Amino acid sequence: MRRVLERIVLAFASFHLACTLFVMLLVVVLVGTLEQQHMSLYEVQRKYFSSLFFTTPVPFPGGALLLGLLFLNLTIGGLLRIRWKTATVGVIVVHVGILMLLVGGFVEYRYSQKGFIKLFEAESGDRFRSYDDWDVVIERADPDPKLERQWFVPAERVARATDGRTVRVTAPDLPFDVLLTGYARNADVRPARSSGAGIDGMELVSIASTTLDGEANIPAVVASVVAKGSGAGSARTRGYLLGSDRGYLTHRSGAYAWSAEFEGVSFHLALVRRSWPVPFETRLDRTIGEKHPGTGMFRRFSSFVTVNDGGVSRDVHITMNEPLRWKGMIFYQSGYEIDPERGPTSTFAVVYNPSDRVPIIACSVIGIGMMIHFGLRLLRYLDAESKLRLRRALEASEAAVPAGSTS
Amino acid sequence: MSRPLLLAERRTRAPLVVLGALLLTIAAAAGVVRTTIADESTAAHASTPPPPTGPRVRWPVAVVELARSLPIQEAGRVMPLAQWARYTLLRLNHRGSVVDSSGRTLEPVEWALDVMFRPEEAAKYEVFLVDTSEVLDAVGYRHADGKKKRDRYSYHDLAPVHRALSQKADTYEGTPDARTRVDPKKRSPVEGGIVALAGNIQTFLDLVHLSYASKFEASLEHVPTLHELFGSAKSVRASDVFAHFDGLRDGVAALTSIFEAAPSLRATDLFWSLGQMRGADPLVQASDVHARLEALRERGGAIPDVRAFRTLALLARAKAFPPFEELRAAGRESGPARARDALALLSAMSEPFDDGRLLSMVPPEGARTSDETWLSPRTMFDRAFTRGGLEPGHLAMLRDLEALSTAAEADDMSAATRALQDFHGRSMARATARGEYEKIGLEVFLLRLEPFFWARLLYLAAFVLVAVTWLWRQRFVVWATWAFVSAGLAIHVLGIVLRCVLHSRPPVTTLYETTLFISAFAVLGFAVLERIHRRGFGLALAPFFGTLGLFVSNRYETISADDPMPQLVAVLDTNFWLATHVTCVTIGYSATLIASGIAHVQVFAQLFGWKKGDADFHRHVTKATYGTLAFALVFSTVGTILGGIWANESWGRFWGWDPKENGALLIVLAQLAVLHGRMGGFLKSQGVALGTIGCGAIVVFSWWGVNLLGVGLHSYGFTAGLWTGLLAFWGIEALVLAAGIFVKRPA
Repeated sequence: MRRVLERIVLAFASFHLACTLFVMLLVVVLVGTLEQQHMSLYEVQRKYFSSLFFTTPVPFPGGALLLGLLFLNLTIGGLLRIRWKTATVGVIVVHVGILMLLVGGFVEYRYSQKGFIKLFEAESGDRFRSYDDWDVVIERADPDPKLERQWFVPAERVARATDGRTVRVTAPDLPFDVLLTGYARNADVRPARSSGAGIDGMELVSIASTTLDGEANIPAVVASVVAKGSGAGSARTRGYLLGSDRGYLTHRSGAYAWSAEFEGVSFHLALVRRSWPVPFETRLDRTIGEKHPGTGMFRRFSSFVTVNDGGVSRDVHITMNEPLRWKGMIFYQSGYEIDPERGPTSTFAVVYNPSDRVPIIACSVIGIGMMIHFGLRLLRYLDAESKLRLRRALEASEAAVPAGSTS
Repeated sequence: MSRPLLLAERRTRAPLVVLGALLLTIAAAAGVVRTTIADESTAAHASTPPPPTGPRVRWPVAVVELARSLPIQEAGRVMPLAQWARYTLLRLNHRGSVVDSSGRTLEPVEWALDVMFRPEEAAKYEVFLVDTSEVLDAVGYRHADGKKKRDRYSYHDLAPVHRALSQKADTYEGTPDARTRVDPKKRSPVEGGIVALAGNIQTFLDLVHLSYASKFEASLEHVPTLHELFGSAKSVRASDVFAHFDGLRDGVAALTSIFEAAPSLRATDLFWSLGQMRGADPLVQASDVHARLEALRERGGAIPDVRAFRTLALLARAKAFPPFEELRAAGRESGPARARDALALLSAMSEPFDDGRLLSMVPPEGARTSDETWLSPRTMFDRAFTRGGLEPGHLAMLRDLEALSTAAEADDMSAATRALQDFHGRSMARATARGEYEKIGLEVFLLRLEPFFWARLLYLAAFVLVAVTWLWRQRFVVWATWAFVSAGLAIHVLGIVLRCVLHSRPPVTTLYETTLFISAFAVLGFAVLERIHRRGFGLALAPFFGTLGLFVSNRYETISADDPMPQLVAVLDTNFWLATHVTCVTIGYSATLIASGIAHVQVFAQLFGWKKGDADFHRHVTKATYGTLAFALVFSTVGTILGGIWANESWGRFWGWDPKENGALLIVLAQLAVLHGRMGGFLKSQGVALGTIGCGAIVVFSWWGVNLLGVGLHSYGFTAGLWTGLLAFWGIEALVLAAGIFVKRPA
């Protein structure tokens, strides 16, 4: 048993595995890059880079699996099994740096929150909104505020209602179930092309999403209200929930949540962008988009904001490459546009990322490690070369003396 | 002075402010100003040139010198006219010079002067490169004898088909949702050729039109109403009109009254802006515009000052457009005779000024911080309206240009020199005061020095010498090779440094600059390797890579034919990250290519039996490959991670799987695989060499191939048409790899 374990450890620590992983990652990255001609970055990322396996046309390990294996290989082979001596100091330091990068990447993937906040001049905000997470919210509207209630279906569950799958939303105190189907990340509801198709003469059309962040995407899902435990066939009412930034919007009401009457009580259903609180309030005072003179090309975007944190205000200037960092949140200037009616607006990418500083530290560690390692090797090589040259020169002069003496 | 000939062939999408109809409208009733400017119908018949009057006098050296360093604002920066003329001519004819009708070679600035001030002459120069004659076949061009499939044509050759070319180009370019539009990436060579040729002809015409403002002259003989204002002058030029601008205010007022009398014209600037839309024909859009006008009228749009003149002309052109009748009715009734005449004069002048939009050559008054944008004739005219006349400095510059036009027309070169001296002096004084002239001299010096041309030549000479050493190894030939390589590298680096100083940027900010930097670094790298290893391969490869790299950079420059020191988009506006991330990654590219170059030596040595039995040589080649690849790994890795950090600092994501990021990662992964394979002992000398050649192929993918994918934030370069070259390169590399795998290895 111990030998088997040892062999497994050895296999995980081997150069062979390292090289195989590098080559496989190379293939994945190459295919994922080429595929971006035909697929959106978001789809490519999900299919190739954050997956365990993918198939085109043969099954192949995905980026996440390969990076996980690389982590094991690096830890076991590059740190534990490597001989710790002067000659390997640089390599060990480099490996520590790469490990930091991998761990930092994982922490970011798992624990960071990314979204945006869009402000007009003189507007304030203290919540930032997700690019791509849309929750279904069900609200019991009751004249008596005490009886008002909300149920949330998290975006992860909503997004599962695709490829013919049905997601049943049920809760003990919800008097009915909601069945979600036909989720589309970016969609439009249009008049149905053939009569009898869709719901109420409208059909849901999925549109390829073009951006990674998906800020401009409008998702949609089909919701059916059914009696508890019963199937779609017994639906009391069906309709499309279409995501909207302007509050609760469905195709039926135009502006507000889709309402469903159930046993005399009215309920609203809607698909809304998830948002998170920011621990301070930000007000956009002025935003500037400066162009290169005589051209339409932007030279600089910047925003002057006031950060109000618990009654204490301070002025901050956010510009490209110079974000605002405060209380673990980072505000980046990510967009600028002029609304014909409301004037200039700034979009800030808002990020909460516990491993924000890891890459810069890791990069320094890796750089130093590489310099130690290859510097030592170069010195050793030059030293050996000069010794070799000296020896040859000596040999040559020894050979030359008798030749000269004979002439 | 007669109307220049080329007016007739302007493209419809240009803001055609044709006064003809307007003058007919307003002046028909009054019988007023008869400017000597022909209207469009006259000019349309004048597309054949006058009989040649023998070769024109050449521009004196003094004029050429002054014109070279004349500051203009283009592509978002102040540059010497010589730079603009150079890349513009390059765009048209893919050459750095042009031959005039008497066989003399003109430098770009001389050509630009001719186009502006002697357009009849310039129209005969064969400046339009047509890559395939099918482009001309597509518009029914009747070929003259003696032209090759790929050849250069003059404006006179192409004038008969210009309109057809423009119309075709407009349908391909169209608005994104237009059915006839052809995506630039999917255009066939003929379609692309048509769009490019139509654009080039338009550039040429825009340059011709640039001097119209300075050639404007209106006769006052039959206009007694304006005699009081201009005294005994028989005719007036634009500068006179601006000098008496206040006295013509009632003309502006008359215009206002027309608009007031015809309320639906209030929002005609909307029409104007629609007409300006790329590829939009005002007539086609008229019905759509009419609906929008109605909508805007309800909101009460304000009357624009100067745009109204252009709008009037546009409306006049669009005779089918309903408000035109309204305008005519209003014109007949409006104002006293003097106001009408003033209006006619200003309208007549609006046209040539409106055409002068190509170059901004007049610095604005005041400090740079208060007003950054330089003035073209068009914006000068606009400003006169918004500010009630031209400021004295601008008036003086306009007078200088008028004098220059007159002198050039009469071939009076001493007067032309004086006029240009005055204009240059005023422009320089103002630009210097604004802090915008200090680098002009240096840029002209760089243009005249042509460092990359000389470096390429020196590398080529060095490479020839290398070949000589293979046959005849003499110490002095080796030394001469070193001398040529060093001289080439010195002038190459000098060119890069001068560009950095001019641009106030680190060496690499554009794809073009990567070619300069990578080739310089490769030459330096090979030279250093030669000093370390002393086995000849470094010295042989240095000039080879130098020549090849600068050849690619020259080709790229010719194809892109744009400002070689362009302004950067907002996110790139950071010298810190450009200096660290970009430089590191580029050094990584260069070092990998160096390693790949040496690895080729190893494979070729085995293939062709070079240095058979010289184990020492092979040992050095292997060591050099490994050492350089290790060096490359350091820079590729650190550079790639720095790129992630930059992205993290700029918009909060470390890694976005963008193609260029992936390209960098591919290089790092390939290098890691090779180096770990060597450490693990399953890649020996041959394996490392072949792996390194693979790394080189990946570098080329990341450097050039990724840009051809046409996706991602980093696709900064125009690189269409390079696929063939890349595929050929990868094909050859695949053969080399195959040969390396199957070749019999030395014992």
